[in-house]
Amino acid sequence: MAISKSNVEVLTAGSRLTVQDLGRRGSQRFGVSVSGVLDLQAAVLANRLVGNPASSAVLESLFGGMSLAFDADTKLAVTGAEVTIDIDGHVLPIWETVIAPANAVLNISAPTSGLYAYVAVAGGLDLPSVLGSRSTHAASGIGGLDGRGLVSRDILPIGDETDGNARPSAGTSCPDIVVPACHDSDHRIRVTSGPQYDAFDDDAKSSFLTANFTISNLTDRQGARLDGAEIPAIGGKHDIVSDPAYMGAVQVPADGKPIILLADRQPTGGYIKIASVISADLPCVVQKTPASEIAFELIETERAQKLAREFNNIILDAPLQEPSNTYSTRFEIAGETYNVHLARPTNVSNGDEIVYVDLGDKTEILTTVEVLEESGD
Amino acid sequence: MELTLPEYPRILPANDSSILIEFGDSIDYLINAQVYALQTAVEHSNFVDAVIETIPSYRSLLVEYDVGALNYAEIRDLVSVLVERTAAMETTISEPEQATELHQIPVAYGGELGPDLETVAEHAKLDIDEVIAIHSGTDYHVFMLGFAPGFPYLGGMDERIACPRLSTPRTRVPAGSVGIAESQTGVYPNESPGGWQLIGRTPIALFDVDADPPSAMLPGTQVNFVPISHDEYEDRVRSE
Repeated sequence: MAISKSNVEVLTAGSRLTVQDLGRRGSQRFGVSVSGVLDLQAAVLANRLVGNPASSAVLESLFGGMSLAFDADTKLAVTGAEVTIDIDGHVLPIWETVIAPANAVLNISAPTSGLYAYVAVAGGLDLPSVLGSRSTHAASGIGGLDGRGLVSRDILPIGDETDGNARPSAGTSCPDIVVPACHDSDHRIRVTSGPQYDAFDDDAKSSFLTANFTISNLTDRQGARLDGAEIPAIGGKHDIVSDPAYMGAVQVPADGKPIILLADRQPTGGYIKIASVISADLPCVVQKTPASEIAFELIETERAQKLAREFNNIILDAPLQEPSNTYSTRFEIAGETYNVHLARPTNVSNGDEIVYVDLGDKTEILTTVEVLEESGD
Repeated sequence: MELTLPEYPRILPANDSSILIEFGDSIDYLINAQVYALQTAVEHSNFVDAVIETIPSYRSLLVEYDVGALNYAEIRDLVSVLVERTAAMETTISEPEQATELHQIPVAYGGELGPDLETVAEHAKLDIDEVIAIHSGTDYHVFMLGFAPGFPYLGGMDERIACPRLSTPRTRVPAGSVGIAESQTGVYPNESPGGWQLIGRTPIALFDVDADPPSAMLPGTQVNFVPISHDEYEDRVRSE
């Protein structure tokens, strides 16, 4: 491994903090779980906001309540659950490129909505790739840092991965279309029929599609468990000869309570699967907090595939929003005058204390701004 | 009510980016061989670039694919051609083919390495040596790996040594433990909780992320267990 230039240190890990990427592919045939990020949308966008490839390793935090320290100026982005973040006490936006100066501390609050927050750092987390992935699967002790969740004082080296020429500057934000709309309680989770849909009679299918389920507090990275209605199979036959499992499969064990299989699922399973959550609605499912309601709507595969393509195009290709560059500011640091496009120009005025100014190739750290001239339209 | 029995092979969408091909709904050598034959065919097909991953099970194959490259109807048509060829495989196979690889797993039976061997023998009304002879005298077919990395689902155990699971599972089963649960036998590649009756332990690593392939037992192949002494077990653990 190359000598790493900079590191991130875990000061407080919160409930559960793991390293994840897009998952471990090609080894399910050996009994190895895919794992990887739960909220693909949030993680991919966090990476894009810092100029990483979508596949770079990020931090996934359950319930926030965590803090990180950086030993060098670090470009980062926090996405996912509705958390409040600050760098050394200065509150900054999520779903946006921000910069932590060397020796700064990033604090992430508990979420007011959602479960999982993602932190991407420019260059990605440079941990060993195990079977082609850095994702942590704690149950089998594979990936991440020594195959386990992170604890305070863990130090993670930052790599040098980049996505071509992408160099988002501080203040870059996501396309509006992406920032989650699924907090709307009326939003129904769309599913296609599962491989054993016909193991249920019309009454059971109907109750599956009309019931209001609640997310159980037993939900974890392996699966979201649902309470509220019990969906009996014809003849009480919930077991099958083990079959492949997949992300979003809604399996129904003998107690009739559906479980939506998530990233840490085992590769195969012996329960019937009534439905499959569409890719585009998975970010919504994984961010549902225990006790929140969930209801399903059945759609055709063709439509689900159209939505999946749109979803992929948006998260991978929709242009990020550049920071406003119609607003330039001249200011002075130690006698030298700079003329820059500030990330958040409207927030800066004479005498303000700010955390950083991104000058392209270098980051200047200011404590007090002396605005010489402002222009804008 | 009229029951319509599913006709195999059956091809259906699993979700918006995967297709499931079922060759049957039972544990059967021919069905399982067809699963692996199709997996090989898909991985050598001209559409493999659109395939993200294939996951085999006892009786079916899941193919995850890139929806940006293929839609369901397109991959169904491509897979159907391969399925027809696979389904036409020799239909007289009732036992695993002798030509497949036979992997030998050394096992030290009984004692503290196999604390439940006596329970299994009592349940079977056999001597301990007879249980060992029966367990090590059979070639087992690896139907699939699952549950945990490298965990084999083995078929072909002699019913005479079948034994129910422990009423209370152990919280810690050591890596390499060989167990029996009902009429199945298997090996725990890594330390984990588990409820199987433990009859012995192997000194060899069954799952190693740095090995290629990472699993010593591969689906579609056969294994047998070779009894070794406890001294030899200790020697081999030291030299591994």
